[in-house]
Amino acid sequence: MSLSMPTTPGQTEPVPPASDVPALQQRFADRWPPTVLIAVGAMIGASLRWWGESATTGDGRSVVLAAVNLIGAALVGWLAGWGWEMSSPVWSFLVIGVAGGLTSFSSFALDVARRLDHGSPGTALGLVVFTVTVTIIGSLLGHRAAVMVQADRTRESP
Amino acid sequence: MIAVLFVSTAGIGALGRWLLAARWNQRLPLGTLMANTVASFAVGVCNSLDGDADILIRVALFGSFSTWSTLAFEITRLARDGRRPDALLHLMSSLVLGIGAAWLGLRFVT
Repeated sequence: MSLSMPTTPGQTEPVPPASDVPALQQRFADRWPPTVLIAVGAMIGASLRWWGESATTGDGRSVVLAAVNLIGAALVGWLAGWGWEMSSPVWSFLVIGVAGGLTSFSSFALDVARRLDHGSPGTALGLVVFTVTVTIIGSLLGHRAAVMVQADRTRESP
Repeated sequence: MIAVLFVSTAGIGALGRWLLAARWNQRLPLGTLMANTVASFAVGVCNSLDGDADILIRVALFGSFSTWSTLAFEITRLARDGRRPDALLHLMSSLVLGIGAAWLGLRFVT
């Protein structure tokens, strides 16, 4: 009896069965190295941030920036709560790439520094407190939501 | 053309952040702190740029080089692991160094 895995025409490498998730993940990781996943993810995330920034002006940009930082933080919290390992291709693509490109600390810091430079320390402090609060809460809620959904799925499965 | 340059520089920025994190994120996530601080200083220096140069350098390159999502995740993870002083240290050092670096960058130019 042969123990070799099935192959498809034109392929020389064995194809693992569909139930063999770690092997499929490994094949995916071998084919798509982290550098490619991170770069492509960042292209998508940064493009979304650019689109949001270009649609607004003035204080609206600060709001858009806080919103994308919140969305990115919640996404990473969700994926961490779901149990994706930091070495997985999904983490490379969605966390380091998409969420990393979508969110921006430097734009936030420049926004605050400009307000300080223009003599608006109160507004600058408010922006810091608001952004820190929404991103930390977003990360916590994303994590909590993923853990709760997973617990529900575990209870419902036979 | 600007779109091609934009996605290329965004990818380069994210890869730079990843390399820093891989090298320096040990007990404390110093790689993220370094990336955010360096990017903040750079965008402060480049504050006077506008048009395509602003989009490529501030939004794409250093926008992707820095990150809020990973910073928030690292802070909440440190807190969940029972390392609340480290979480607070990471948050405060990121804010002080990042905003301070951006302000210094602004001053550096003027």
